[in-house]
Amino acid sequence: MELEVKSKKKLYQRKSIPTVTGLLSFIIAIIALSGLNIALIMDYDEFPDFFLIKLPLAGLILGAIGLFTQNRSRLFSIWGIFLCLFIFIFTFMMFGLAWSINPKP
Amino acid sequence: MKENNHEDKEIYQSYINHSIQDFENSQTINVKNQRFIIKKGKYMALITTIMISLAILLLIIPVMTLSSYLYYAIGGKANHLIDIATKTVYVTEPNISLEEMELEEHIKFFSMDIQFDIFKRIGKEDYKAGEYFINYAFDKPAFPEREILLDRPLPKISSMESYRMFHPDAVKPPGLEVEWDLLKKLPDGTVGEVYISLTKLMKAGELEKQLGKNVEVRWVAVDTGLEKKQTDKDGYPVAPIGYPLQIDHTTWSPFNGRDQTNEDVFMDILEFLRKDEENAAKIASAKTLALEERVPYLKKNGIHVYGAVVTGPIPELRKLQENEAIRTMKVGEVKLWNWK
Repeated sequence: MELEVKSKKKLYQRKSIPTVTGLLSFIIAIIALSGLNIALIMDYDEFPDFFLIKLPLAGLILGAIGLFTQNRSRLFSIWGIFLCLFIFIFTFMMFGLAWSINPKP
Repeated sequence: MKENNHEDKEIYQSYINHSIQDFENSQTINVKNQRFIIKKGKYMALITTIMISLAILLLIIPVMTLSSYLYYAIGGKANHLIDIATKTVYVTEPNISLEEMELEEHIKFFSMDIQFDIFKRIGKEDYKAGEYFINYAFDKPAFPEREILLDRPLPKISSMESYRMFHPDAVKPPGLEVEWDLLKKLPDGTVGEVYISLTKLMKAGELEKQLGKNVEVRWVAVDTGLEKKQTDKDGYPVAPIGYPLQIDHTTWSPFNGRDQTNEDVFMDILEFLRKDEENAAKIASAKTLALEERVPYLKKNGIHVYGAVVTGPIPELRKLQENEAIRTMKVGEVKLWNWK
């Protein structure tokens, strides 16, 4: 009988630290979502393409890179990708739905 | 026996000591570092929780907006509600038309606002008569807010009395004679709009012939069996319903005369509104439209008119006093000469 405690240092490190790109992707997605919220609350007529296209696209690419980074937590990458995809789907669906309501030229 | 026990104890103690030694050797992180790691872990967990909560909070408004658009777009609900509103205006407001192209809708959280301008033809020109704002909570409209720009505004609550169009068999209220005097005092170089009631029911074409070509019949009030007593079967007051007699060349108007006559369009609209009578009655500002009684009556008896809105030059409108087909008259709007 022998008690042996395995070192969990490496395992601990891998799970705790998020990928930098994933974290960036998540932060970008949060900024884009904030912009979208402001545009919806303030009822802007102009299409905020910076918040609805450019930022989510950058977030999506960074999130995808973060997803393939080894030995790091992918939580923020997954959230970043999910939020950026949501913004794209939201934009696409809103265009379609707004066009179908009262579709007079 | 005692010696054996003692030996076992020693062996056991050595095992324990050996294991403790092993454990200490395997732990390369000292206590200070362990505390740091735990602190860092707690901090990371807190940051993660805050950021994910923030993301969820920021998703609320977009998700609600998207859901509202889905609610109004799926199955054409918003378009259906807009159709009810515009068609109700055509058949319940005498001599009122609207530009459906200019209708604006605004979708909020599970509510929708629609806004449109209404027009009146006085003489040969259309004048803006006002604006309608209708707010819908889900699919239920509130009473419309109307900003009327007319000298003689439309009644807030529609009834026979407010439009002064009376069925031949209905009691005529006193004091309507002054309206002819009013017409006489208006200058000749003006055009006007008058609401007339007839002495007998007749077909719309017959009425046009009776009145001649110097005036234009804009809208006819149709006999639906309830106009004589002016109430429905439950005793609620009813308002006139009718339809525009002239072809409306506005692109999206249902009375554009392309496929159907205005009479057929009118019947189709009544059938359409019958399915959503509650909504239509709210928009018409009427207590009831009583379409369950009126539509079968019209199908059985056909369309006969008892009143009309007529426009033309004031001198021509004065001549209507001599017309035997006219029982009462009420002056509507008057504008500068535009009769070309």
